[in-house]
Amino acid sequence: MTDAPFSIIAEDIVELTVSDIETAQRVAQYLRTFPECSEVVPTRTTVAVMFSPLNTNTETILSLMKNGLSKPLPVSASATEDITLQVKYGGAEGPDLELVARQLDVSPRQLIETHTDQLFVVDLMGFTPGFAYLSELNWSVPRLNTPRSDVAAGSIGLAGRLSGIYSLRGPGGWPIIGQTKHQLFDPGVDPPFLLKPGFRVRFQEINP
Amino acid sequence: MTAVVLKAGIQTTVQAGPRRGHRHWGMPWSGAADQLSCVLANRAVGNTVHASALEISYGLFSLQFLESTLLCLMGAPARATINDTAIPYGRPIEVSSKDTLVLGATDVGVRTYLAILGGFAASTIMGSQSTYLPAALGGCDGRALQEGDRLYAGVDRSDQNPIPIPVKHHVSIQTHWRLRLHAAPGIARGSTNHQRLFNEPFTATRRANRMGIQIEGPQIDGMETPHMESVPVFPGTVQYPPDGKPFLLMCDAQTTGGYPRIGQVARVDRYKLGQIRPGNTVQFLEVSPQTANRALAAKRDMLKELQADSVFD
Repeated sequence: MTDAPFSIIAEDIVELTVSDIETAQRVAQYLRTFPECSEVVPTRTTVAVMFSPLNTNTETILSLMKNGLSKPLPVSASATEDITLQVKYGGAEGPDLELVARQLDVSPRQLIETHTDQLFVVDLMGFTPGFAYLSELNWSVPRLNTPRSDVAAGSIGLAGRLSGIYSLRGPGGWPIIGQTKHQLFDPGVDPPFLLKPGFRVRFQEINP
Repeated sequence: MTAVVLKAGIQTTVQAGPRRGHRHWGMPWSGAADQLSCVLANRAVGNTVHASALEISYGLFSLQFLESTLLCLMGAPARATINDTAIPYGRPIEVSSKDTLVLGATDVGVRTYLAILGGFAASTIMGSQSTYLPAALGGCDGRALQEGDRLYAGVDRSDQNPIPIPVKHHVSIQTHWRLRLHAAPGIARGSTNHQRLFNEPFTATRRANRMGIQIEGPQIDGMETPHMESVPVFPGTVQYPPDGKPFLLMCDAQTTGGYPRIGQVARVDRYKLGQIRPGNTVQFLEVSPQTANRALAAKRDMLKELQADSVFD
């Protein structure tokens, strides 16, 4: 490795570049055991740590990151569980199905079949509470040029090689191909999240 | 019961400190958009730093008290009266049963904070009482206040006496904002992008809420990455979507985002984001981590005399 994999984003944020989601989740899990890391956010390419620069400093966080990188994999693998989510594709529930199919040069039907044939894995949770990033498609789908200001809860989006599930109604930049009625986040139940990193998800088409 | 809402305004929510430590579940912080004004209002009445207060956007709010308490207003200025008598901001003010607070429209800034002794009672979810509207949680049933809502005082008093907040500590509500910004690693010093980012002002558009504010300004080149992986974002992150209109992310900001990041507002200036109004201008000032840290420590030290310095922890 030639370049240092660390970036100083701000006086209170440092970011580590990683090669895969497994490394990101493993380092994040390690960093979360230190109270000086007030937020630890893994993604598929990075782990960001936010800290209070009045109570600790960049050097301390960087050395924790280095330690985390050199730790071996934890013995117990993360819990897996298989979940099937029913999805209504296209129409009002999937307003971008045809756009995405055109971009990929396939028919909407082929796109639906590919999406339902595949077993996805929850790489990470992020964006809004309960939103799941699922890997991995064989295609790469571009984001919308301007984010939609109002995406329905349960909307299934595609971006890059990932599929995502919008847990809440709100803005979003991923083209939407369908919608599920499953509730991904419910603050009234414990745990409040339907999905967790490591869970496997299959989408099943339902008719209106 | 402590008070009843007579006029709810455009958007009034119960806000306290940020809901920290859950961003890896996709849980945004929420909390007061202008944390400093909120903390100072709480400090004035003798509350703990992160007691729940009302965040009133654009004013036009009225509350009738049904028991005596102490209140303080801070943040965006608006004409404020108790029973038609004008009251100042930043001072603890005693009110009695049947007294009515009326807040007029705000002409500059966005959010006014109303603290009462003990804070407002609200349920704690994942460590915070703050309202997060998109998931309908925290505060008053997870929603904005409505006319007729009954509010109760909480128990978040501190052992500090009420004090007026000296004017030098009040958040200066402006129309032209200068925000210290860390350029993103991809915006190299000396590049055209770097010059544009720091030399030319941006203007806030009408697309603004607690998640973020859209701003318009100079074009930043080479940001077309429609296939990029989502990366962590925080309050203060400046995202650059393909339409060239950056988003200044705020307290309800998503935890990850797939648009390129062009900068990160310094921690010491993030509370200002809550007061940027559509049409205001934003000038970014380049800052180094060292300088930003010194500015933060200086601001913290200034607030020590009020024992409100933990706002930046």
